Amino acid sequence: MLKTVLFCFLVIITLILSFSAVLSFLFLNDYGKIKETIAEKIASKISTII
Amino acid sequence: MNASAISIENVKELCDKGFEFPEEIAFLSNACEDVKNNKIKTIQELMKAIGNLTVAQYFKPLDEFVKNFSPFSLIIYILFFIFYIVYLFFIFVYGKNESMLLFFIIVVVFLGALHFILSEVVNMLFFTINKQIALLLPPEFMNEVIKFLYEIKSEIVDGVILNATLITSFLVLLPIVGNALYNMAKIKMQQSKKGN
Repeated sequence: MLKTVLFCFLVIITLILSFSAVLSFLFLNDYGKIKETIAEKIASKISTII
Repeated sequence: MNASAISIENVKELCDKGFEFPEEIAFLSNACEDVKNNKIKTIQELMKAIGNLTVAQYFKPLDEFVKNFSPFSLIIYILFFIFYIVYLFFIFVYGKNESMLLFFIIVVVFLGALHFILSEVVNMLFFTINKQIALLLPPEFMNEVIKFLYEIKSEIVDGVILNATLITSFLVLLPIVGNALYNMAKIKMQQSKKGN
């Protein structure tokens, strides 16, 4: 029983760490691309305004 | 007025004269320096430069955050790596007789909850930004700005969250499913041996 509870905790901690690591990796890796996409969107919005 | 009504020559001339652009197109003054130096030669380049300048201006706090977050993310990667090795070890070595179905359910429920909470936090954040913008901007620009923010949220932020959820589910569920399949194959082989 104790072993199962410990396993459950390990699964949850690994899950949270994995999610945080993947999310931060994707964010840091794509940050430049995200900025570029937003700049392009702003440019296209401006060209429709003027 | 449409985009074709503005030419680079016109903008350059106005920049040279030190013309103060009206409030609605004040962003043109941001790119004056590059237009004067002939770095920008077409309207498309001008629009892109204005977009880049706007992003550079408004993303300064986020740039600072990314710079400070980079060393912290390294700690998260190392911790994740250590825990993942321990996780694999426990699943394949000590977890032979444990219920993999229970772990599978826990992972699916917790991952769903994490995805839901993060999406809700992002929704709340965008809602707050919309409210702040409503206080700052005149009503005629509101719809355009909210549409623009919604596009960014649905195309970029939601995409990153969904990808993170999918990759995490792959990383965490694969060993559980693999172990369950291995156990099932082992039981079948033992049964077929007994049968013989």
